[in-house]
Amino acid sequence: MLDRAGYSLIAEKTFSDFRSAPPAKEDAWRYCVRVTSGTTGGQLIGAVLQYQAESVKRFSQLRAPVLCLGASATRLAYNLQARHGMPAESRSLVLDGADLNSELKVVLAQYAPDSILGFVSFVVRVAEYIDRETALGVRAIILSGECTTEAMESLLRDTFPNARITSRYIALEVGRISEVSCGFQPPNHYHPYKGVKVEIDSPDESGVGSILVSPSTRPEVIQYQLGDVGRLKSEPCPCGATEILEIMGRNGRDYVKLAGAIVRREECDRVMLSVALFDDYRLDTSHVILDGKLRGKLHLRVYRKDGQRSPDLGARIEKEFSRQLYLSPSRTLAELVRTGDFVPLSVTFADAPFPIKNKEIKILMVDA
Amino acid sequence: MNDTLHESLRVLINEVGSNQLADIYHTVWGERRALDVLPVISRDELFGSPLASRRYKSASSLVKIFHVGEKTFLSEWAYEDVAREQFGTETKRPMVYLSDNAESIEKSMWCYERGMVPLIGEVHNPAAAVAMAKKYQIDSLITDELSLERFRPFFGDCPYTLTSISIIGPQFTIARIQWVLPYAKEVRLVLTLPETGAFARAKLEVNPVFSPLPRCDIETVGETLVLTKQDSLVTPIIRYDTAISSKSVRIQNA
Ligand SMILES: [Zn+2]
Repeated sequence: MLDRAGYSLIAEKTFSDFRSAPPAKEDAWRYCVRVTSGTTGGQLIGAVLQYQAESVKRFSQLRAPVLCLGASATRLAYNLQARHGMPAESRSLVLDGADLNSELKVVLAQYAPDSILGFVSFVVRVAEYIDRETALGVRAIILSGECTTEAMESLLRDTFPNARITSRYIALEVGRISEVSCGFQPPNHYHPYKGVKVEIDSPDESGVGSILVSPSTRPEVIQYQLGDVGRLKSEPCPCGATEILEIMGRNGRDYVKLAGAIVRREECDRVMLSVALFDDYRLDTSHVILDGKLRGKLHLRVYRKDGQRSPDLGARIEKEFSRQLYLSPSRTLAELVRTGDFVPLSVTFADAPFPIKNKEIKILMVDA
Repeated sequence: MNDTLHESLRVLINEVGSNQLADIYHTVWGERRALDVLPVISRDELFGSPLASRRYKSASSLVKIFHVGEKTFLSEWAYEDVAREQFGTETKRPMVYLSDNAESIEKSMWCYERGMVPLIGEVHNPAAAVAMAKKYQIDSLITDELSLERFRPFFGDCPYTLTSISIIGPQFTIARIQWVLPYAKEVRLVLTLPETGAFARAKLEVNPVFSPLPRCDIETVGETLVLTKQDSLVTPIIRYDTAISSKSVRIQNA
């Protein structure tokens, strides 16, 4: 089994080889370099991603996509693949969070996208800034990189009635892991991609465990532990596939992306210590639609060793936790509640210490 | 302007004036076609018009959103034209570190069009950008004034000299950037707007003198720089009011 640390070693070697011998000019477009933070915080891992004809093929039906992605390197990688995968005379538009303002409607109407690609939380936000006529022109929505919820999917279906909504399970390090969603399965259920062997490491009684992948194109990557948990079922699907991989979220819950913000466990731990009003917690994250707008919802379950609890204490925890918890580099939960991006935090008290399974999961996605 | 330049410009103007795909220039020019009588076109006139009315050719392209004050505009760039731009120099491991997302993508795509694999820095995370640059051992940098300042820690313990640093933007405050001189064999200032691309270049020095880039003509009209590019861009730039004060830069026309 290959964990992230093991993967880093392989990635590092590839990266330093690449650095000392960059590709020939005509092959440059097949490569992206990026540097990501390692497992232990400070350490950085260099990675080289290589694209094959196969990876750019998914762009071959698109003529005017809008790309809605997070990190600059990811945006560039997608745009590069679009450039080389789309038919001649196609165009692409790469959006940034800062572009989401009142002028975006006009700009998108002029651009007239035929497709929208990217992270579902970003795509859902774009849906707020698109007029009906422009939305009707969108024929495809292609999601990746995050768990999709029923609430998100229904919002997208309403906004883009002519679009076929598909998603794929992709990991930055190893590329595609699933086939394009077939339409017969609920969100976050995928058929494994034929070029990838998917296994579940030490599944619990319900079959849930850490997802391991072995891509056939990368023989050095065997049983790579993605850091996601899920379950694999042998079950016939109307589309003809026989295996279903259900993604349940990240292992250990380092973070959850929610309504355009990121809920990080590290930050929650920090705030717990800072407010000093409880001894342990679990945070349930979900999306709700209120007045046609998708908003993040956090429910904090707290445990106190002394068993103390009261509505007043709950209110104090709610106030302090919201005031101190940063969900973006500059904005706290309290601020995001004010802007309507989140609904107010709710707090309940747990009767017993939280059970710890394989790995301690503190931040949960409850509407996946 | 010499005769060959003048001739290619005359051809461009006639093509643009009679183009069947788009009509914004025709609308502004009327029947005028001689360069010396063509009116200056402003950003609001040109880029405030719908994209379709200024899309003079269909080509594989990147569409950028650019913001000026409160206003948002679109600018479409064919990759064949991006490739011809002179944003930086060709090296093995370039880095693009700019404060605007769309510009970062475009300048990185420029690297790819020129056969280089760039490292793109995260706009809002200078510490990561610096660490990434060290890891990739970048040999050149395309940046802007603001991002260069944020990137400064990179040079603190950089054991080698970069091949080139290209600082792009509509104007430069020399006092704020001249500290970077010792850290690269060549530091260039490249006058660039998102919607026009690069159009003049100077060496970084106390009183830089800019030379127009090839196929770029720069006039001073009133107190602003007016630019004409001789390439058939998706949205051609012909007597375009850059809104850059002629007092803020010294241009040395050939
Ligand atoms: Zn199926």
